[in-house]
Amino acid sequence: MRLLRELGIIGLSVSLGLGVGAIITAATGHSVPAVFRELALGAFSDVYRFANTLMRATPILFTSLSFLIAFRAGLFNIGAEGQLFIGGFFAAWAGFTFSLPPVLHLVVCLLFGAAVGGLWGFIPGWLRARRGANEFVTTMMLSYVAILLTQWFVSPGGPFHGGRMAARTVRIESTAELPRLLAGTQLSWGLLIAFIVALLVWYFLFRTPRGYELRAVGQRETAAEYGGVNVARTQILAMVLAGVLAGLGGAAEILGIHRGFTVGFSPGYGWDGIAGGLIARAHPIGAVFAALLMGALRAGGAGVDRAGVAPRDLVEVLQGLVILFVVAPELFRLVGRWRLRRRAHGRAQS
Amino acid sequence: MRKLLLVLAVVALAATVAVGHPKIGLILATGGLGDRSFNDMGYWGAEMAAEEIAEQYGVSVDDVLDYVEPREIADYEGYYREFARTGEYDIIVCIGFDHAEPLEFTAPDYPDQKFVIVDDVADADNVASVLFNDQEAAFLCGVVAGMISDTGKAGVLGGMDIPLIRRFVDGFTQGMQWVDADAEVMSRFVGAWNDPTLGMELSREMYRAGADIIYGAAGGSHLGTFVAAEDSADRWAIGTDVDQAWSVPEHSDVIIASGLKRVDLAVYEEIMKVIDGTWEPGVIQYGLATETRTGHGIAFGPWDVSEYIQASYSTASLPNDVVRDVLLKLDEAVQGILDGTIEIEVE
Repeated sequence: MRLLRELGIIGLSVSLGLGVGAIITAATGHSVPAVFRELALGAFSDVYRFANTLMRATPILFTSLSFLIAFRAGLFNIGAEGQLFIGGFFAAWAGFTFSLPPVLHLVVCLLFGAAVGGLWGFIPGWLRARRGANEFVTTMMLSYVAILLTQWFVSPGGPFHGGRMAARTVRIESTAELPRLLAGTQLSWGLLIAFIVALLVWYFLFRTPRGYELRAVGQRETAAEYGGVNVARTQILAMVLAGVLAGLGGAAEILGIHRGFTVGFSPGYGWDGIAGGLIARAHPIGAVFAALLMGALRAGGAGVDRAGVAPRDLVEVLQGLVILFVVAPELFRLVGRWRLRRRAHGRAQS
Repeated sequence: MRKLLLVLAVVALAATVAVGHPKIGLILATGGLGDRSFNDMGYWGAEMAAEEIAEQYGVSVDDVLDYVEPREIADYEGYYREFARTGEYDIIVCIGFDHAEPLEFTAPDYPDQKFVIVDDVADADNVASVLFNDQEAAFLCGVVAGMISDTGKAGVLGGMDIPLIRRFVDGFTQGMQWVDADAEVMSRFVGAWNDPTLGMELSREMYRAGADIIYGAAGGSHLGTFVAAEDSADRWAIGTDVDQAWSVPEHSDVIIASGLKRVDLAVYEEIMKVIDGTWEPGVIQYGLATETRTGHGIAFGPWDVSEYIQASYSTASLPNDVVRDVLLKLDEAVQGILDGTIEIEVE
């Protein structure tokens, strides 16, 4: 029943977002039917296009999971974009540095991406748990560190520049490539990995004691502490896992699609994850559908752009509106809860 | 059965009619249209070809030319596949060196599809890679510097210390010394393509060291050179790729010339080769001293002298006789490059 109501709210929100989008489309002098037709065709018209939607949904699923696992522990991981970049870079590094047998090499690369992503989550987690540094700020700032650091790594003159004109590393060994799921599309096995990881996150959160502790900390820190949960350790764990998930997403993207680290490989998948996690109401299975929605919007947006019926900017306005409308009710609820909790926390300390 | 055959025949007929006119797919670089440089030139070249084709087949340019402006490098591969999988496009043109690697591993999936990449090599059997002899335009710019400079000193502001930019420095130095054997050329490297502030500082340093002309080969960074040149009336600057007196009109009074990289001509020619049936994959070098004999030149002075020397939008106040002398010297240099009496040595 609750699920039905949530789905109803989301459906209504999407329609509202598209409705307001339609008004803006018409007001700016573009054909509403043409834009919506191309939006739908771009995301769903045939196997190739649907593969495009799934391809775009894959990294968003990873970053949505990253956001929601921290969120379940009462923390905001705004830094998935950076964790994606640093994870992607080190997966590529393992991909062109080591020489290993086929499957093993791929696994090592994925683990490298996950581990370095985890490190990128550990730092703000530790700072938050031990030093009280606001993770909102630290994750965001570390994100820029990761993006700019990797950019310097692979730019001409940087230590890992591939030696050609573009800001890229050399190509990874073929043994490190994540194969394509469908030939002739960009969809890789990353999708299945993301899906399995989503199930694992669900299992962890709702079926293991650690997951229970994590959620307890997120619901009421003081109560969890009273109940014998090590709050600091749980917070660090949550942030490490958030980093691992985003880092794995970056690794899958680089190994499956770009086959070498390249500057600008993410059009903001990390930021999409924030919206994705909120749309999913911080539920791992919900995240699958949220990622699908966001992936469809991205793939459809490219379709509108390609057909030339409206500029890319307008499509981004549409995407933004849909996300805004879907997230808005949840966002208000969350910020309210978060402030209450902070206030309660403050009172408890004074 | 007969009905089925009839239907098939009609479908086949419809298909041949639909295949009537050639189609061009154009994939720009992430900068997109409106950059008054690489992307715009690529588009002009494709548009020029599309206009010719459209006229020949009695259709509109929009029927012939489809183009996309990828926002991210991540979009490239999707666009290759999106165009190539239809099988409708006689040629898919990719503008910019960013395309090299994604194209390299995507092109083999569509062995019958012809691709062109501009400005780097994509190593695949169905790709023509267009490269430019950058040193030639640089040489011509050096000739201008040699003719105009009073101090006998000039500078080059490079984006990065890489072989590509070394070709600019070498070409420019040899061009200037071809005019004035005692000329001295200094060079500075910004380390970035988008740092005009540092570009300005390094340019000021060279101007203060006695250079009165600086050649910018640093992308967005040498916009700072133009600013630095405005400091004093006896300082000039030379632009790159397009006539920057046109693309950066606020500094047209100090930009006396611009070395041209004719991306538009290269794109046009590659497309027309497909139409003529003479297209071939592989590396195609564009430049004065190559088989194609196009793709380079210089914008200088108010008159068109040849297809290599074009009128510039520059508003620099040079006496008419100086302009004439420089144009004559430039023509001599071009002839020298063409007949091989001038050989530009690069590393």
